[in-house]
Amino acid sequence: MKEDWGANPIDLEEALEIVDGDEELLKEIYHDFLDDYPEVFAKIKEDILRGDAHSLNSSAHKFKGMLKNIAAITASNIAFELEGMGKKQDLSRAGETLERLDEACKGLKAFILKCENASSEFSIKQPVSSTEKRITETANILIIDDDKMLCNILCHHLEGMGYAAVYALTLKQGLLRAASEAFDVVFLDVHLPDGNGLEALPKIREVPSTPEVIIFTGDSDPDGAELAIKCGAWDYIEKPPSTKKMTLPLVRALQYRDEKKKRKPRMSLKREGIIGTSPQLEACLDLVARAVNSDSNVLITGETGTGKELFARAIHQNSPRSNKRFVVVDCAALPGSLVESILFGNEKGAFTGADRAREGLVKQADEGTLFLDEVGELPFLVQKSFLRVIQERQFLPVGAKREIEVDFRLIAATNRDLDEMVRNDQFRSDLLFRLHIHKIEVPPLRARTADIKELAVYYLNKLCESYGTETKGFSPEFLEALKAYQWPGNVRELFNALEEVLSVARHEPTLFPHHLPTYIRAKLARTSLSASGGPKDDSPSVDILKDLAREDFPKIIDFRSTMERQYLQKLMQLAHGSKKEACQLSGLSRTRLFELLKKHSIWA
Amino acid sequence: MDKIKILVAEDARLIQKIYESGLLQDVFEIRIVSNGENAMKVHSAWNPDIILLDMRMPEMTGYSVLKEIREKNEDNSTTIIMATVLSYEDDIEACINLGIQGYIVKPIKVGEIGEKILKYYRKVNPEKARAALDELREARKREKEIKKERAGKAQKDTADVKNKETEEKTAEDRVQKENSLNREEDP
Repeated sequence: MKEDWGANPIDLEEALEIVDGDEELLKEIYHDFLDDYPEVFAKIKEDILRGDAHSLNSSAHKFKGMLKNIAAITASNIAFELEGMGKKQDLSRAGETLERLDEACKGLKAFILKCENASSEFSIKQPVSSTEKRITETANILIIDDDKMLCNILCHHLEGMGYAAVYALTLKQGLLRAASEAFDVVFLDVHLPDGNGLEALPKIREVPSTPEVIIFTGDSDPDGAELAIKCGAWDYIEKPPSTKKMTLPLVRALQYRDEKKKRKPRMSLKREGIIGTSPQLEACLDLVARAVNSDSNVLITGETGTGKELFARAIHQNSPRSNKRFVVVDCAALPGSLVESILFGNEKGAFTGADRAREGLVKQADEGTLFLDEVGELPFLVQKSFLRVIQERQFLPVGAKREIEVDFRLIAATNRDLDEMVRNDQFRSDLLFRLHIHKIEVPPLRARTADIKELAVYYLNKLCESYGTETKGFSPEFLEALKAYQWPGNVRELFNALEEVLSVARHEPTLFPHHLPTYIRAKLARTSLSASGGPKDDSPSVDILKDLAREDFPKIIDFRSTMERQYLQKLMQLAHGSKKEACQLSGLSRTRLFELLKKHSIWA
Repeated sequence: MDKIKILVAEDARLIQKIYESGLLQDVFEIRIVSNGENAMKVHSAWNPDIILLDMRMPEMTGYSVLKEIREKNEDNSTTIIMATVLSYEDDIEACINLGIQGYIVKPIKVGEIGEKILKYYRKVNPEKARAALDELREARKREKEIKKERAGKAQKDTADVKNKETEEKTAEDRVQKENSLNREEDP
């Protein structure tokens, strides 16, 4: 078998020849490989998913070159197979081959890490090695599966590997054990006699020892695997599990746990002015905390005025990069002709008017965080240059002769639907793909009304302080009004409104609804009127009508067309592009559906 | 004599490092870029003697760079060498038709890369290439000696530390033994 674990994935003799016996260099290039390969691999995967044979041919070729240069024979042969598939434009078996490549790379990684322990082969030293040893001594593992024989075999194997393993045959037993003892990893079967493992997953994750959970999925069910990951499982293994399949996810989970433990316990997230305690906000802050603990790119989405930049700053301030700069690039305000120079800098005399060398914003973010605000507005051409900077962390200033290396953490924010923009060819899919490694969706203010009081108190006190006036009291009606209003402009609108309130009620000790700006009161009045009077309608409500003023009121023909288009877009999205499903969902006939899709050129 | 200026276009970091180690600074002046577009920019600004082009790079392939350079500079003064992982020969053929001086096949090896490049450069500038080759061999020798010395020293240091540890351990053992003997005698 080609990808036999027993065989060395690296030809060490060849590797030493490549570096001319320089072990230090060998160590370095293997580290580079470990750092860089996930990205190249992701590109190959993306090409296969998109069915882009031409691009696959290139990306697999690239990977093959890297693998050849570290003497990873098996893996480079598999990359070669993929390259050939791209060349022949036959991707029918690309998926399987990709899996083999994945397996080979994992083996390669494990081998490199192993070599660090056994310096007899070549001496790569990385802190992880000691980690691995240490966790081996203490790791406790629980297997929840109703197959007793399988449990016995797995326990035996795991013990042979130096772990302490126990098993439970039912979900109930398993939950009890997990709650009463401390485990590092739980292997969990989905189909158990007394319940579904996936449903119990959150409970297991919540027990005091917060173990990592690895799911056994049956029937090679791809949805089950996806669901498992969504429910917070660390990884999944297809049934029947074997030691070979279990080892890598297990080792990685344990490494992760160990690193997590080593990390200094964070007392609490520095919130950087993020106010509120609503569950929606807390959930969002959880995501922030998760992003803080890694160095990957983050995409923050949310309506205008929700405070996306605050969240970006919070990530920066809580990250190890906090003592370096947080550089904001407002993509909507970049002047067309100077974009490259502003971002990447320029040499003196690079173009007419460049009377001095300028350090670009990207360079300023070196070792710190680069925040791309309104990333959806980034000009299409610059997206390409940017993609390259993200991939290579190197760039060439305008007129320069040497590329500059940068090390920054990238956070991007937008209020636009980037997926939609990708579909309309306004945003590069490969850029989006790299941006949303972590995605944080900041909830609109109307979805977190519980925070409105706290926000209002905080901001009013701040305002009063700066104006030197006494703090104000809120009448209950005032608060009610704040909560009832929809705040389309979110926190920013709230703050602006409060400023207006204060200018009106400067000398009054208590605030009442009549202090609110007129447009808000008008809207509230309309809402309350339509809520109390008027016939109740059971058909799905169409919110946009409510806010329409007389002068904006559309002709029915336009309105119908807009609605139809939106309906179809949503329909196709929900049906995952399947016309059959779309017909079922909408009750439209196939011909009519096609007609409508054509009319709105949704497939164009 | 001026050093030979080499522009390397290669996007994989680990391979960039191998070029850096193999193309010794005593002999070559090198600039490394990681994509074709930057290769074009540095080429026109710096005017290197040799360009080492990776066949496939993001956005603009080595082939396109080659094509553009050849179309721009009619005198063909720059030595262009392609780096490739042999797979489909038509790639190389197309490059040869556009006029490359040679190609090297991955894996790139630290000990060989300099000489390989000079072999191709000899066709363009025999005198400079020969001088550089002598210089390169000298420099490699020097480097090897330095490394050997360093390795020897490191070994000695480790040995010293070990000896010291053993000595300390023996001393400690002795003290412990004496202490326990004293205790036995005490009552």
